[in-house]
Amino acid sequence: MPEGITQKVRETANDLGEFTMDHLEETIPVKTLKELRAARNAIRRLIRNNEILPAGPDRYRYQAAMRELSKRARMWRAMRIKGTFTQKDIMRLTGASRPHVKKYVRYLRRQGLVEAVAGQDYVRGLYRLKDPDNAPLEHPKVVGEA
Amino acid sequence: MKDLVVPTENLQGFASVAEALTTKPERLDRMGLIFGKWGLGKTTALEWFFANHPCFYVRSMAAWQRSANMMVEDILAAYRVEARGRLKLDVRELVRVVKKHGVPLFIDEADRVVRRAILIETVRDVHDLSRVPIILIAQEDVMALLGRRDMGHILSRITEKYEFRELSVRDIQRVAPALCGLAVGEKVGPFIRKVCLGDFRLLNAFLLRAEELCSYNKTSEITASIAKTAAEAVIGPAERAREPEAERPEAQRAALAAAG
Repeated sequence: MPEGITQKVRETANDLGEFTMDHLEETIPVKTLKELRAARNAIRRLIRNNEILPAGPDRYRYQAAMRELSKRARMWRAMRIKGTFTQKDIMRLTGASRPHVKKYVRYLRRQGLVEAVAGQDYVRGLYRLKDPDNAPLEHPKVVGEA
Repeated sequence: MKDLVVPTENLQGFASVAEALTTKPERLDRMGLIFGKWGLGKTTALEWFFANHPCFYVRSMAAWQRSANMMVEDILAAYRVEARGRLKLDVRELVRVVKKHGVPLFIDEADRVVRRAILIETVRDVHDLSRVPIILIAQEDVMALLGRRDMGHILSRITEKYEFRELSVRDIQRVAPALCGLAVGEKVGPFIRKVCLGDFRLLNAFLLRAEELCSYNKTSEITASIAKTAAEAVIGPAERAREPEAERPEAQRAALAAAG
């Protein structure tokens, strides 16, 4: 799970403030050698993306950057902030294509996270999150595709 | 007409505040303020930003003004953390969780927060202890509240601010091609702005009519005569019959009179 380990690296670097690379590698909560390798790759990625910046000789600091979200993450976030929405709203806010929005809404309905309020079609079909207060922060991944 | 969020100057200003605060070093103050009159698209900009960027959002409630507990509980709920019901513990937990995520926190309708000392002081504590950007979104009168002498320490922490303004002529020249594929000339732009009063909803009504007229006339530019006819859609013929001339906004009347 590259995103998972990258997030761990981000959190650890953020908690440390300023750090040396050795200190960062020691502090990241990893259990296996494979995870450590993935963490080292993640560190390299974060340096490339200017999220880990030099802060003196052999010292680095974490600098949060505006990260790109996946289309599904955007759609899920748009649904969370709208609460009640049409497929058109989600397309407008995220720039996702119409079939992509339709497919994801259908998947979320099957998962019981979204329910139809009125209508069915693209413009008038109104949907809402079933339990907005407890809707997960991370977007539900489509099983078999993610 | 296409259904898009067009990057107007307001939207770019909104995004630039958030981006500037996110990329600022942690040791600097990172509170932001976005303010402006109602109906200028602050909430739409917030929805767009929230959908496309990692951040958290909470809308302040009138009931927050009765106690800080409710505010802290609601912000914790936005992070999907259950409050314990004791303010001291909850504030500590809030600082921990905000710091853990490390992404900006937006507080909408923040006028309510600014009006109560305990609320804005709690927000300031969370900002100072977590060193995470906190962006307040409020009505235009928030500047008067923050300008008070007892708010100096809050105002000094606001290192980025942006005021939402009415749509500019450049915005209209950007929106019309993006939404309808219609060009807007230098002379027609100011007329459309006056007719629509710089309001996005009125501009949408105008563009819907202009699109029909342009398609009928087989042209891809909004000419002065098309703009004048489409302006009827903004003011509304039925509405004109009901409303006396004197009640129509001054700018609209002047623009129509100038167009003949």
